Amino acid sequence: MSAGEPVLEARELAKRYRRKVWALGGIDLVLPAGGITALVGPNAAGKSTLIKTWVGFEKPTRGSVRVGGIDPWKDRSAALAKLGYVPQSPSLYDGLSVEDHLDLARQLRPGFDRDYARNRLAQLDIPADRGGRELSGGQQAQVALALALGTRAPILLLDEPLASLDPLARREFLHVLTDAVRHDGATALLSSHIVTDVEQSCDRLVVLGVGRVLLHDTVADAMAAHSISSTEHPNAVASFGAPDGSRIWLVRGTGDRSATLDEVVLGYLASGRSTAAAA
Amino acid sequence: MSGALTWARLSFAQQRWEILLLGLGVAVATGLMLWLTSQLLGITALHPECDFFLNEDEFALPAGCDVASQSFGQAYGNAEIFLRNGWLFGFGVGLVVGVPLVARDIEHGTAHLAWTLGRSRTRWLLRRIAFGALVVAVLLGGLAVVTDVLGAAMQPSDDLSRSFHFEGNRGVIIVARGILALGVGVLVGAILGRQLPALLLGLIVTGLMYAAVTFAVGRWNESEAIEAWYDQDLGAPLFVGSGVRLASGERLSMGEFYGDGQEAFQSDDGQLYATAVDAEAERDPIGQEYILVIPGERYPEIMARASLVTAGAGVVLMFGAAVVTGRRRPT
Repeated sequence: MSAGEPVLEARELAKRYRRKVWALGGIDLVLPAGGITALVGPNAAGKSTLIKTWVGFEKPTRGSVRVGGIDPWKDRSAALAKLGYVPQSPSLYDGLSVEDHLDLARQLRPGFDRDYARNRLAQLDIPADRGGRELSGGQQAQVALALALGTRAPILLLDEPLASLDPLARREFLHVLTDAVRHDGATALLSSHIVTDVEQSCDRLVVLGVGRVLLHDTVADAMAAHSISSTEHPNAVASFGAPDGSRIWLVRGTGDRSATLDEVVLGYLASGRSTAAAA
Repeated sequence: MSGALTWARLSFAQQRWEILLLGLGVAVATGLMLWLTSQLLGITALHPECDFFLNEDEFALPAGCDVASQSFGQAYGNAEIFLRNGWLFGFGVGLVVGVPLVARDIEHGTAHLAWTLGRSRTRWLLRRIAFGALVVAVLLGGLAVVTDVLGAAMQPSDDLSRSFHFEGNRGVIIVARGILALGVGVLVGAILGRQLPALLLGLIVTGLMYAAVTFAVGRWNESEAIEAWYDQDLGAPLFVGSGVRLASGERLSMGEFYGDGQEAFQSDDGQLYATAVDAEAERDPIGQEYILVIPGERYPEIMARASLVTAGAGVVLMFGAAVVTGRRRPT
């Protein structure tokens, strides 16, 4: 897939659970090939649901999704062939060792690159003969990532793999992911609600809130285009509380000082919340 | 070939505890049945002059046969317990192997892994089922053979390959029941996605499915049964019903004939007479009782058919499980 070509698409995507709860409320999103995109949002923002519609685990109530140009609900097999997936809690098989998981992956996925995955794990000193459930949370996440990378799929979907990891394990995980994506030229979408973790690793940013896309930009442009004002501002996106308790405004344009990525995300989440409250 | 072996190894590792426990249970039962078989054969070989099925109250047993007969009767009684309850193994093995095939992956979250690494859930499930069916066939196949051997030892004067003695409690039908229960287990497990509830519901569904299959097979057998009377030499036939054929040729069930207070006097060959005098004189019969049977010589064919229908129902359920698995969420 050439750079810039759309690889993940959602068109007017809406998803409703049990007839009442709307997890996604009409999302239009096109992610280009290459790099790592952070999908950021609070709990229940619809991050997992969005990823699961691309994987083919959730059927859109309205609209459509495409993976590398393929609708996973029309041709799941072809869509999955383009995907590597790391689930929210990387559950490994109880009775299987790490090496067994690699064997299993080879059985399930034609072309699975066992040596590549094995080397990735060896670099992290993860013992191949250890049972999957005997590993630490960080190691389990690394095994899940190695399995996804071993598919050599051009698109990687990572559904909050960092949520249960300690800071060091998160750092290692992101290092491996960044290295692999840069090296292989893959496209990765990493959902998280921890902004500081993704700041260093991600090229693009999608902020999702109340089932809608609130911001979609490159990390560099998002930071360059926003600033913080300590007083109300005509170009304010939204206001929110600073750590010291004062009120600050995220401004599109020039304010009192430059904004951190965390503040950009918080500003858009606050704007999403106030829009939802007004509606 | 090495791919299939690797798959079998990995599948076994995922279900090793239940397979080992089931294997142990089946091995113990098989061992006990073989021990009882050797006891029965030993007694029969030591006392060829004794007919252990003669009624002691009516016939004088040859000298020495009374003690042997008691021993044989005791071993026979124990063996009968195994044969009568052998169906439990078929259903038990099938369910315990079948339920986790999908339900465990959903319950433990590994379905996320398996269903995205593999491009086709149907292919994944069929390979899982193939392994489960292999386990069921191996565990119950041995048991099926041993039940036939035990049955033969219990009825030394019969050729059990042409006899409905212990019908349904021995032979390949045990494996077929295992396949049926396997299908129920996979389907219910795929629907519920939880192992324990699926196991409990699976017990009920298996019972209902088996009742339905038994009913269908029974109707089929009935349509092929022949009329006979108890005294006819038909080996050990399969009894499928009884009735009364009136002198006019009309057939009535026992309930229809006797239901309205009809009284009849019966001769030894089943002929029915209106009065005792007529019966004594064998004059003016009003009808004849009959039984519907399938002769013992058709045992292999009838049991193969029953086994195919039973296992076939299980296979249909497995296809249902594939449809459910293809559409459901992994949680």
